[in-house]
Amino acid sequence: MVTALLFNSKEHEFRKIYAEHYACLIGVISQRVRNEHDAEEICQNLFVAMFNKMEEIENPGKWLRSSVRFEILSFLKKQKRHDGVSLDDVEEQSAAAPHNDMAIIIRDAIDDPDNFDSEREMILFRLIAVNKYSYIEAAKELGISRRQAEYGYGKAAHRLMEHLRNKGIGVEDAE
Amino acid sequence: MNGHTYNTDILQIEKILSLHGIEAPVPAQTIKNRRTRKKAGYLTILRTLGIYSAATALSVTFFFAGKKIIAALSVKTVIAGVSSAILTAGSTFAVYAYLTAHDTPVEKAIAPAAVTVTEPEKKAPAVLVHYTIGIRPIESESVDAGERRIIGNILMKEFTAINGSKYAAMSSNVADSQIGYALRTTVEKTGDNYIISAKVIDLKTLAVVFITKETYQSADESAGKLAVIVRKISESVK
Repeated sequence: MVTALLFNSKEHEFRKIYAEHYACLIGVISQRVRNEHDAEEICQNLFVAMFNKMEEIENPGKWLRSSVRFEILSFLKKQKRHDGVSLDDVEEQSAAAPHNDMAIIIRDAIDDPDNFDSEREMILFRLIAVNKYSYIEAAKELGISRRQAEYGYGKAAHRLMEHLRNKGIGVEDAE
Repeated sequence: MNGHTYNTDILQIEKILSLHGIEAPVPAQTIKNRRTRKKAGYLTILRTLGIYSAATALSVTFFFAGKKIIAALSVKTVIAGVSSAILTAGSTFAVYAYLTAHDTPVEKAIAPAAVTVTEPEKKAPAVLVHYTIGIRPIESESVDAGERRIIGNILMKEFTAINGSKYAAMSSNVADSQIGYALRTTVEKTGDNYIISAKVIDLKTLAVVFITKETYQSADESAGKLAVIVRKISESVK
């Protein structure tokens, strides 16, 4: 009985993590593998691995972000064995976006929870600013109201801009 | 921090992300598809983990549906919903308070009358009558006190029955401010016949609002006649 209750509690906690991080992770994975079905499979494998290690994981969001790359690579390696697809080609494709020092700083800033009030705010920002979700779509993903999404996004943008200004990055630099 | 500053920051950060190619827009249809498959994906994970059950599936359905509902709620919807709930609760309470306030003296008044009734109670009628009437002691010059008391008891029993036992009160104290009408009943015996006359007076206007006279010959017949009188009274004062 006690085991069942603990297990349910674990499942409930796991469900909340899944609901919050799913959209963001599937977005990141889709960018790499360019295939929605593969992205879903990778995402599911990632969450299964997380569930099995939940007791050891202190920060689930951080764990998911750091494990996602490894999960993508191991999936692509398996696929390469089956399909003969060159892993180098895929990685090259995934790195198609222009890279420079400033872009790296900005990417790191977006991925750093310290630049946001909460993990949820960070995901919210990513969904709206990077993946171009509307406020209502982002709100649905995170189980918050549209107004909360709009306010949270504004707050996140402000904090992130402050961080980037401190790093010497502004609109004028980008131009 | 005001909204204007946030808007400026939003514009700036979006411009920076765009210029550095960090944006990765997801088409609206893909967003929709992903959201549709989100729950199914979770259930697949539960199956993989071996913890899937019908109860969990139901719980998961409510969980994901709840998130969508919260997002769809606007401030106006929430305010309208809360206002409606308050209004409904307030109205219900007001009606309950009104009925309780009006029932209390009636129930108190009925209680002693009910003690005198020894016969099985009659069924409540379909129509409820809202009035209070004070029944004065039966007057007579030719009928003894015992018979008068029996007639009085029958009258009270009929009032209790016809008014559903809850919305009419009977009292011999016509000075009570709760009482709207007074019933003055006289019974006289001439030969084998009894003549019963009833008069209802509106205590506010002191106007006679009802008057009737019935004749009967035996005690058995009296109950039916008194029932008719009481029904007529109820019709005239309700």
